[in-house]
Amino acid sequence: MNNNQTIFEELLNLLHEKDVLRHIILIGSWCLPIYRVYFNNAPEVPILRTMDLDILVPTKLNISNTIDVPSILKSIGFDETFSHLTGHSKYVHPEMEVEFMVAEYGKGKKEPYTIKPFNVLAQGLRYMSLVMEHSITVTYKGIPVCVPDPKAFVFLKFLVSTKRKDSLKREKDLKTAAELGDFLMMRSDQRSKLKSVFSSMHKNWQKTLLRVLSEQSNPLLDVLIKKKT
Amino acid sequence: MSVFQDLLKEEIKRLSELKKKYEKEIVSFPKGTLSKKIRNGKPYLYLAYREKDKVKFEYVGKEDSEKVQIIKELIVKRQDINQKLKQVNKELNELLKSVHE
Repeated sequence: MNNNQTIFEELLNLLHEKDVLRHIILIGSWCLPIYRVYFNNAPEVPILRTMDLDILVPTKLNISNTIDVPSILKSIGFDETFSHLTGHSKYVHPEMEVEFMVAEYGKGKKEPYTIKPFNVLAQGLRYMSLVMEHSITVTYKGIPVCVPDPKAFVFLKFLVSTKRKDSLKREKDLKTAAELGDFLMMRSDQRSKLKSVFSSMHKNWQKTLLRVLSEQSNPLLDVLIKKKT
Repeated sequence: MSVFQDLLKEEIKRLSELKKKYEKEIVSFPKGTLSKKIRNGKPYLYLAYREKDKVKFEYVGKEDSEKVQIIKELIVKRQDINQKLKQVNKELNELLKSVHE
């Protein structure tokens, strides 16, 4: 097994054990191996992921006691560092880097968001309400892991690509979204719900998404703009 | 082994599985393209495909028939899978090359 795959599983196990996992949503490319399991190992599901493991902490956390997440991470070899740009905490391991995110609304802010119940400093990120409204729990190697609904994940990747300054990252976002989107369109259970997830999105996000799909000549565009007959 | 090499191997495995899946899927679709022939002033459609060095024409039906519509849709699907298969082959070859370099 891959080294970072081992670390990933060890981390999930530990976060589950310490009662952190049920409060958070895994976002970013590490959702892909989870989707692979969710879709019975379908080879159409892309699996290329980065070293960054992004964790979304929902705005309303229902925890009475503080769980010291940094010490959990340190116990398996992660070092705590802070981003020079935003000041949010990063947990660095030779094989992986963990960051915490929260949904950012309005103008946003430059300072990191303090997540007291977990004792971490998170980074604000756009479009996260889409993930919070559409998430699923998948049992991965015996552990229940909350990830964005794959339809929301595809939309999110397309949307985030518009904010990327790094062209390589943008290309990767678009490729992952196109591949997974293509797979979802082939599955009747997913295809039929693409439009309802799309309709739940903010109107401006819908416009941005349709623009990206049009620029990419992505067939998902037809599914989303097709009127019901 | 580095994380990058691990990922590369994993992706090669996935693409190989995907290639097999597409290759298996593609044979279930009709091969060839639809060709129109006018007989007694009326259009009829035939499935034209190559067999060894000969082009064969298989009668499908009248232009507006349901059977022709179905065949048209199946051909579009086959072309789509074919396109994906080409892309998978391209990516797979690139990855295999980089592994052997």
